[in-house]
Amino acid sequence: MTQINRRDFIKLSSASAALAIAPSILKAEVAGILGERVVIIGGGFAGATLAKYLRLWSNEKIHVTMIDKEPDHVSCVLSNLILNDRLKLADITQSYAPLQDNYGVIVKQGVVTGVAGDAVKIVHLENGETVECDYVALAPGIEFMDLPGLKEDGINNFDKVPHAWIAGEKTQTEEYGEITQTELLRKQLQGMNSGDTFIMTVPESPYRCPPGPYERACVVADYIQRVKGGGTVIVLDPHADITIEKETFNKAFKGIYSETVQYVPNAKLQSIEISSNGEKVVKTTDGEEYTANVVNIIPTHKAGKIVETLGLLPTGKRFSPVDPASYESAVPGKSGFYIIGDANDSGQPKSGHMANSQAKVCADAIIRVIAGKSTTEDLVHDPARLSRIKTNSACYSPITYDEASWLTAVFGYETVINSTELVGDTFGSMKVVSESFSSSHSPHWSRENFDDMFDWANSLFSNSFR
Amino acid sequence: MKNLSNRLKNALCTGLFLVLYSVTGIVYALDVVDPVRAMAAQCSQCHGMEGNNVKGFDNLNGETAAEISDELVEMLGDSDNELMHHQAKGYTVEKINELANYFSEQVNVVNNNSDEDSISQEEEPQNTEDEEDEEDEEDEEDEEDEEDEEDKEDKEDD
Repeated sequence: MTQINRRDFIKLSSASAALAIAPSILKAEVAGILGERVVIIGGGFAGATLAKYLRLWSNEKIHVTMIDKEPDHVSCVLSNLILNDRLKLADITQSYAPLQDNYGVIVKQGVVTGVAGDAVKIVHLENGETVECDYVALAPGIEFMDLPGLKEDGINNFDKVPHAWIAGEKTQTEEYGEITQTELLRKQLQGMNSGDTFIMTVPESPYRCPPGPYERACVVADYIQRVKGGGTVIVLDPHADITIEKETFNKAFKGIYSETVQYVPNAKLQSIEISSNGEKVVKTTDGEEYTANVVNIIPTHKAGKIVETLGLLPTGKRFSPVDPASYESAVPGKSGFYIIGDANDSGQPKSGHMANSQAKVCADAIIRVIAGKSTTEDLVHDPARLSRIKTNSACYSPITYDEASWLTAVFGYETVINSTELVGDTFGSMKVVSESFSSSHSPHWSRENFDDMFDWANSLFSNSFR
Repeated sequence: MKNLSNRLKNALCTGLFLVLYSVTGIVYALDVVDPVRAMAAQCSQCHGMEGNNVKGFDNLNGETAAEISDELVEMLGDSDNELMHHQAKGYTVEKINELANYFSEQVNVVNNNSDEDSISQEEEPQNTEDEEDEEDEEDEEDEEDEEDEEDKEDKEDD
């Protein structure tokens, strides 16, 4: 296989530019450079979909390496159903083998510590290995902001107070050894007795899976009522009200779960204290204290650590600014870096479905950037393309043991001229063009939706990982 | 004259492009021009790769462009509170026609969403607290058996 170096590449692209390839050729095909390499950091819905579509749409010409710290991906989608024993972890675990076997993606298990170089980038892994590439796409998902008593320098109490918000994250515990966060919370719920209290917190917006925290409250309330013979679920929400599917969750909290759920708005977390006898006290900024047997704190999110390490997170920001026409970094001097999924601040919902959606826009953009090297045209910001950039999200939330609600949104690209917030004058933003919840009309939740949920998830898993 | 010059230029460029491609072997064709492809891929989260045979969703590529288009355009005008009807409302008639043409031209391929990989729900609700602990391990075995049987049934259905 012919490999070319940077100098050859510049010569070649100048030669191609001089040719000023005619529009008639552009209509059919554009020259790409053999051997262009993309490294993707993170193998969740965003990373896996990007890897697959880069290979698919370049007829396997672009070399794609996907690096994840785990050997497979545990989906957050459907993970609340582990808590009430409807599913097992294996049911939502996605193998990377089909990406390798069906599409020729190179999958590496490892932790990326940094990226050196400029036009040619050298990705450094914790084990000393390096991977050379031309583009780096980050799909690292989220991490959590510090919280006194829970997560600070030197303190990590997620072994006692699970977040269960990165479903497959492994934690070392005294009681169960190494266990995933979701299974740890399941074990703690199983250990509850009749009349016990469960506290959970809603993270500050924007956060991963907008209906997720309220959905979890419903799943746990159902479990406690049905299996444990009653108890209390306290939902501490820093927002003034339920942030999404308000009618649905209000109806559930005040209806079927009125005996169990106490919903507390404007409850901003201050700290957590874990005493030696295992008692957990959650303190909020208004001076209130809440004590419980099982506490599920989902702290405020920010972009996965590698985003900050690579200088892609402006001071004071939690998520990384991008051009939504390509998901290339909007931080000056960071061309060639792309951020997809939950880690960017594109204003779209942070969900697995949306991560898949963004990855396809990004794959198309990277292919256009590579192809654009042989022309003088900006193929990424071609108006014919911009007017067709769409993303969408759809998801189902289990509300009872066998009923669910749904929500959906379609976004379209809108050009913003001379925006003060964005770099350059071609950047736009993604605006909602259609949005709805199942609660727009009765029934707010149904058995039919619950069945549809599995079809939707199976298809999303397949489209992203197989 | 201008036309002739353009045509000459185009022909020359095409020739040089092909020569460059064949001599060096390091330039290759990338089909990037069709902006509909990436838009159509936004349907695949549910409808599968190129609109193919996903359980629970309409198969898009077995229909004519007119059939797909008519169905989606109808959704634009109705007030049904169904998920797909709200998805359709995210597109103009022009874009719907482009999607319809795109999917009607796709070749039907075997989808990767096999039964083996599919998740299925457990059917029976769990028992009450008293019985739960004793039956926990037993339940797990039972559940596995149930899953196996469900898989068999699925395959027979196919």
